[in-house]
Amino acid sequence: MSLLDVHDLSVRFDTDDGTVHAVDGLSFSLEEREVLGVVGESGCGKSVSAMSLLQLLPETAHVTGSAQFDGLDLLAAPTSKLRDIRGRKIAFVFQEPMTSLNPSFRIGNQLSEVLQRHLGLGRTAARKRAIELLDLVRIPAPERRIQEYPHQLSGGMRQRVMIAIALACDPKILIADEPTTALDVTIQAGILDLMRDIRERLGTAIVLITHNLGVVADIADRVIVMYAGRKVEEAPVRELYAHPQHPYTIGLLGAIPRPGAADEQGRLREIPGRVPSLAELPAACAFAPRCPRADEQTRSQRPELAEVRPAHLVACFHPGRNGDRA
Amino acid sequence: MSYVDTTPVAVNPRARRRRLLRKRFLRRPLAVLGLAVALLFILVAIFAPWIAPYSASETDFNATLAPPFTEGHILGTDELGRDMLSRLIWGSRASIQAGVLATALAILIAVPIGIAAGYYRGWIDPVIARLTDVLLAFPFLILAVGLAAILGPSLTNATIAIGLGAVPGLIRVARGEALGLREEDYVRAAVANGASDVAILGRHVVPNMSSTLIVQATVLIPAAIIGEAVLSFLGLGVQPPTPSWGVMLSDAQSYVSQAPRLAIFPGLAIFFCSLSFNLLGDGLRDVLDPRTTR
Amino acid sequence: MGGFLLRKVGAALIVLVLASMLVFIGVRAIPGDPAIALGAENRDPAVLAAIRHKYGLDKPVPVQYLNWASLAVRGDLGRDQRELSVAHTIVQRLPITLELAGLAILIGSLIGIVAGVLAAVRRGKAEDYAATSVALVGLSVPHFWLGIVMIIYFAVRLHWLPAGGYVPFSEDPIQNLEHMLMPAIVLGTGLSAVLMRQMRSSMLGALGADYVRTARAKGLSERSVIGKHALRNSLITVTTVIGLQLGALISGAVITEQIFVIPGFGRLTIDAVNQRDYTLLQGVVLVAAAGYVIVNLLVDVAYSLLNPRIRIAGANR
Repeated sequence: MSLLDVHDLSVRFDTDDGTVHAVDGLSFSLEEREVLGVVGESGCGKSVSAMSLLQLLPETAHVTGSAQFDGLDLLAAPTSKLRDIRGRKIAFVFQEPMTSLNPSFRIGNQLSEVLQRHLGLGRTAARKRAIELLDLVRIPAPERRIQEYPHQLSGGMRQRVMIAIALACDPKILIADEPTTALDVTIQAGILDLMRDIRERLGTAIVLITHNLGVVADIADRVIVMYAGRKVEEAPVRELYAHPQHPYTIGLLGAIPRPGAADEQGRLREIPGRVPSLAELPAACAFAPRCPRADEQTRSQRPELAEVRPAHLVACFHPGRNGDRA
Repeated sequence: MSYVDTTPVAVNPRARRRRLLRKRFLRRPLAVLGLAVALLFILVAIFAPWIAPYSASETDFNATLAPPFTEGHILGTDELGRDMLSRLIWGSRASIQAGVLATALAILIAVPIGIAAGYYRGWIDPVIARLTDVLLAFPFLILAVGLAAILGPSLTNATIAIGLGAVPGLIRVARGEALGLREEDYVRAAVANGASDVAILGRHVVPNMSSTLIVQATVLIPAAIIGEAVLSFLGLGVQPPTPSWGVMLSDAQSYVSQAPRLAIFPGLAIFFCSLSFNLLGDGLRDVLDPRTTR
Repeated sequence: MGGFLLRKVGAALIVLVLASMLVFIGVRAIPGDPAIALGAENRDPAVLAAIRHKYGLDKPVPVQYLNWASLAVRGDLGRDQRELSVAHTIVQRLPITLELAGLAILIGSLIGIVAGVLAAVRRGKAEDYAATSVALVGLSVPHFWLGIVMIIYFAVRLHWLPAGGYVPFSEDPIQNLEHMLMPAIVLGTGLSAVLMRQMRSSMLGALGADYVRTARAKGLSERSVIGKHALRNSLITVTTVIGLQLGALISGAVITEQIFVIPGFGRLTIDAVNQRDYTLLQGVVLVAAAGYVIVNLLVDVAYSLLNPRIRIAGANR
């Protein structure tokens, strides 16, 4: 049995300009101790799907589907039950470390909060544990940091604090939404190291959401590629990089800046066109307008996920690199 | 083959924005109501001589303190037999004049000064900033009362006093806006392209300040209306026999037990007039705020 | 922190000095010859000349100002028309107005803050519309009219509360509060309306902020999310608003005391203007301005204490 089983998750927003389908029929599962990478460009629905798991979306969102965790459907559970899970069994790390911490409270306070709420620790015990946690995320001089306010810390350190808060109650799943995007490249490496360390030492399953394929290659076990709210490809990480099937994935991999990988004119290769508006979902392949392999079929029918190689799913009518099919 | 743009330039962006704003405004019934009532008051003030059944000072000592629905006096009469309804209608002139003119005066004086301070900075900015700080040390009404005392009691002087009283606060707002807009990228780009100061101010700075200023105006007008009422109430504004809601309230104090309506009616008038402008202001603020979605 | 404080105090002092000059000149600009008023309307030129000399009115204005200022700093604000010490009169009446203002702030803040939080938390629902409407009414109502209306109903018609007047707290606390209740409510109405709107706006901003999302993701109870995280940041803004509204409160006190016949500081202003008592007026307006400047200073300090970002310098960002 998987740790988390998401089935047919769809998220709809009612806006002034009509209904926006942010996520459309997403299904995936997460195993214990697994690092699952969720990749896609901005607006493809990765953050929204993650937030829907803990019912963190605003009231204008309509969520359907199911997400089985520990015998409970997260999407249907009452908020009171969910509160026991948030921060305790499933923890979230948000994208913007600068604004995700409350500027008016000390770091120690914001750490102890979680410990007191879920583990019932007293003030002294919580403080001790808070220092341990800061140590765990490799923040130097933790006893001093406990007393400081968020604005006194750099972005990288704030993100570490967020991770510390997330790990405080030893959750089964850590969902990290673009944890390194707002940080410098040099700091990024440190955060990723930390996450690898966490998986090794604590055995936490991690869902890593990012648009950065380099990051995914670094620490993920398995990868899901999303486009326009749908899952278009899923495979173990090495398999995906070695044998990408979906034209979008191929395009993404081709667009990674690499020394010596430029074409004759020395330009980066990009995927032409733009992400479709999520308000008008086509009853066809969502990627068709930008796909070099588009034809009548892809413009009129929606491709379903199929296993084209072992453990490798793709939703495409013309998958595979030339001569790559199993 | 050359690329020719065959799509006609269908929309002027400024007209489009105005249409969008109008649509957003019309979706707010309270704001529309505020606008309607405010316009009503303004029209009543303008057309008072033609609307009021009696003149403001026509006394009738045979019918003093007549209750409402007396023959010929729908709202009754006051202590000198003057028709309440007519006094209220005539009184609106003082209030609307004070409200609108004082606000206009304040904006005309404060905005250029504020822009000069906030946009040009230099030596002029600290001087203006200190002066406004000093003036702001006096609460608005105390400033207005003081000015009215200096200028002498009359409606015009009261209007001027209220307008000037609002100037320091408005300078602070205008200066803040100008300071912020100065750092906007499009302003810096215009400067880098060698645009003249007048052009920059006219095309970039002032139009972008306009929404804040409009909102400020709709806040100031009711404050000015109440200010005029207060000054008249204290005897520093309109002088008898000119009617003003504030004067009516002041006169009504002695008759509080016999005929409370002498106080209630003018107060209601001030209330509804002020309320309508506040509703309008709230609606406009919402409409002009880029963050609100509807 | 020390340097910051020093700079603020210094700026406040400069403002105060300039304000005092403004008051002095302003009062002198009021039409009418002060000598006539001081001399009980006696128009004999010789008497007027004597009066002018006695009050130093024949000296050049800057000299007059310096004389007045040097005495004022030592607490001597001169004597009014009736030869009573201005400073003494002010000291007698100020506590009354302070009590009124204090009660008004208490009532206004309680209602305003609670209503604002409620409206923000129940945004778009019945409570929000109700609270917002009431706030709008409170803003638009001319509070001196409200005072008259309250007198009509609660004093004249129902005889529940006295129509005016004042009883010192030391004499009879209950009667004192009875007399103060309506004026305090009237004065506090405007404040509560402004506070409610500000609180609502701040809370809505806080409730939409990232750190509130984090708090929810931690599994904290709604009470904790709203009461601890969102509220804390909103209260900081609101405190400064209260400070800024004090000016309006002082203005309001002037008229409220007039209507409810309370012998307070506010009424002094009107009396001074009407009686053309320049010395009194000078003293009164100076004290009002000084009070306002001091309060603003305190608000500034309080804000920097409450907002850790100002209190403690941040990391190089």
